[in-house]
Amino acid sequence: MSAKAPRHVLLVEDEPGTLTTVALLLEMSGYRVSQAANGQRALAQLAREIPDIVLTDYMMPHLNGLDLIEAMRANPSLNKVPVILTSAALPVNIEPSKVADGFLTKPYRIETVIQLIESLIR
Amino acid sequence: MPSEAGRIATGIPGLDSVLYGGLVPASVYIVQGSPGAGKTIFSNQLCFHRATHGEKALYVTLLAESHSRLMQHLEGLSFYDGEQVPDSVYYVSGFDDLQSEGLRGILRLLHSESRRMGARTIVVDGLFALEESVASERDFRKFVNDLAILANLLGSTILLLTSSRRGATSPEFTMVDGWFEIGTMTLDYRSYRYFQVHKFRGSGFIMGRHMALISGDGMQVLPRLETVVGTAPHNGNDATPLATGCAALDAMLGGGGLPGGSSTLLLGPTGIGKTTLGLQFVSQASKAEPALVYSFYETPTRVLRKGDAAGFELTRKVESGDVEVLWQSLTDTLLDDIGYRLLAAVRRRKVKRLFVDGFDAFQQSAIYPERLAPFLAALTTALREEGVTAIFTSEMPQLIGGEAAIAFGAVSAVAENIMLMRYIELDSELRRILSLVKVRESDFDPSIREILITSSGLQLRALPGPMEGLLTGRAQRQIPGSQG
Repeated sequence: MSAKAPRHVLLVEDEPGTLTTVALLLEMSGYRVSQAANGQRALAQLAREIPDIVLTDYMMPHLNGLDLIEAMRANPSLNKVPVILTSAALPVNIEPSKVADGFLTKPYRIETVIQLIESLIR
Repeated sequence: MPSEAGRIATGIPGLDSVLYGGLVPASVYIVQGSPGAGKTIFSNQLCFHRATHGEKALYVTLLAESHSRLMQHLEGLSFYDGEQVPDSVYYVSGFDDLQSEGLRGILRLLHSESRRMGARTIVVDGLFALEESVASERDFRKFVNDLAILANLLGSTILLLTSSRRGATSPEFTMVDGWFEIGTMTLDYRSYRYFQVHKFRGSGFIMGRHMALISGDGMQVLPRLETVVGTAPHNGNDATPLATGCAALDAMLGGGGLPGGSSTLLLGPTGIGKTTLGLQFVSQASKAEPALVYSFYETPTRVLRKGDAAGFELTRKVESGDVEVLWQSLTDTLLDDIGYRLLAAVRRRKVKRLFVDGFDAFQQSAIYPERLAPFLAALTTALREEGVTAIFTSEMPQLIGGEAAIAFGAVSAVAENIMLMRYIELDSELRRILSLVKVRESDFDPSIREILITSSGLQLRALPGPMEGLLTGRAQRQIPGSQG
């Protein structure tokens, strides 16, 4: 009997240190992690492979996290993929629970990320 | 002094005052110092202190050294608690991970081990080993950045220990949240240890060098007293005067004695009676006015013997708890160490009468003489805030005469009252005289009195007729009608 395949997380983050370090910690916790440096690159990856969950930063160049979520929700093949939005701050008129399945204020702890991922892909 | 909530208490006495409350959580700090400076003691003291708060600490060494040897050295220090190892303080070597996987291996190790045990404090001992293992400055810069991110992701505080002498422009120093230096310096034949914060993000801190000590209790930082206490001037004489034990002197002072909460400098040559007068002041102690004798040159036994011989019953007063006599050795003593010990002794017993026998000790202990004035201003401010009335003795080198040598120096700025005791030669006899130079907010009696040392202590009496030349030490009776 083969072992259960690891869950696939698409991590979208423009800050390279955070991108690689969070990816490393998630991999060490048993996830398969794809990385994208902004929303535009994330959409390109989503066209090739659909992950179990997307963890995206808000403030990024080219396509920010909110625009990425909007693009995913408009795409029937992606609109069921759970998304966690992360940011140090959001525009005052944005209610996180209305735009994403989960929200984390930066800086966040890795345990909190993993708990939220597990609760959304269970 | 500002202090902020949510800080991490370090358990290193004095350091949290310098840091305005302790370390900022989830941050990365470099602790820099040459071998033997005390980095290992510093970091272990922090780990064991956090363990007493129920937290866990991970100590990662990057050199091929034995943890048992490290612990053997720590066993002699009072903060070390073997029962906390390994559950609360866990030692692990990162040598193999660094050799086999490089910096990424260290990141993996820090994450896996700290997560396994739930460590909130992580020490990485041997940052220079990491520097040596990287191909480029860029890789090292990225690693330090990744460490800062890791600290946030784990919610842990990371201390990087290094003996590297790299400076402020090196990437690791620009990228970390804090940079502490434990240094040593040698002046003449004496060596000193100091602690300096160069950088501390997210908070203010007390800048500059602070002397540090390592003893059986570990490391102690001595924040420069004047930076902690401040130097507020006295703002009014609202305290009750304290009797000196010599009624004639109290009358000269304006009635009642020394102004309450003031500091007095008692100047005079050896053997003139400075200690006797100080002990007389102390002998007036009571439950409401506990007294402290702080001596640098004479042991408590000698002080008590002297006080008893002068009729002050000091031993009985010590036994009743009204008086305490402390002695501090001057061997390699630091100025701030004296200040903090003195203040601690004052606060412990709520002392109201203080006699410090040997002002010269402060001068001897001052590495930088220019610090003496602000230090003394801070010390006297702190004493005043505690409601202490203090007498400090200072020895004049000349036995007789030499008025030009009366240099009050730094202390005159902070001594609110100054009394001058001198020998004079009169009628082929050596006699003692006392005069008041200044008394805080008092219409004091400026006349010169003769000192008598009696079986009940120091007494004063008027001089035998008008005199001249008293301050030269060679007094002469004025011939009636010779003046005016």
